[in-house]
Amino acid sequence: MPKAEIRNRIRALRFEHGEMTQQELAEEVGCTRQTIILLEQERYVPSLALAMRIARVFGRTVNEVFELAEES
Amino acid sequence: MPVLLWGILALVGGLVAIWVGVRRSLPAAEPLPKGVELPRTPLQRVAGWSLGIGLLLGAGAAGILAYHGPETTYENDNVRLAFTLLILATMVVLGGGIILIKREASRDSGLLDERDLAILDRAPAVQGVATLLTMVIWVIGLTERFHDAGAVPLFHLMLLAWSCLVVYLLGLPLGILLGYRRR
Repeated sequence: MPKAEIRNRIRALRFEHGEMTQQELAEEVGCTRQTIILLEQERYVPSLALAMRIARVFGRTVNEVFELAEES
Repeated sequence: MPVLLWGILALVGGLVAIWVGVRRSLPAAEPLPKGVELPRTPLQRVAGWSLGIGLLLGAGAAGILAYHGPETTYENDNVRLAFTLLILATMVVLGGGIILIKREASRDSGLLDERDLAILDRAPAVQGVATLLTMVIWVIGLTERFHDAGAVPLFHLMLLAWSCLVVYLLGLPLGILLGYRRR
């Protein structure tokens, strides 16, 4: 099976949403700021529930925020 | 080998077991780019404080034991009282930290997120092994030391029990803090 990585656009979407801070996003979705930082650095893959909550904050679908990048 | 050295070996053995266990179970986290710093989570802060204060109090008790020796610590009421109070304070701080963490985890207060809960779930994985290892090293040491006498002084059994409890209680905060350094 090819190695899969999850890419995301959280950082860009935060800035598109009135330069929302990491802390504000963390509070909106119910996680710590540390988790948001690790998500933006693509060091942490969120659960489906957290991914959906993040997408909902930005008014996007999960697929518009997260992307599966496969490496062969 | 003196009993105290066996005790130190038992404690160190238990802590090393926790360290190795957590490191083996989780791959190391990739380093963050320069300039990116992670703020400490509430769980990290509670674990860090309880571990720090607990270790300080535990070191105080160990200092009394090392300075006076096991026999005087047992026979002198004042020394025994000071030693016991320090050990009990260590238990209260470490145990209190664990109770606080578990309470926050169970009542879904929003302080802990899914990553914190995953780290918290994995943290106690090696607590049992570490405690057993501590006990086994102590038993080997006491057997070696008191084989000819055919009996172990009571206070040494108390030391064995305290060590196992301290290692068990240290296991959770240490496992949590190490968990944040892993992926």
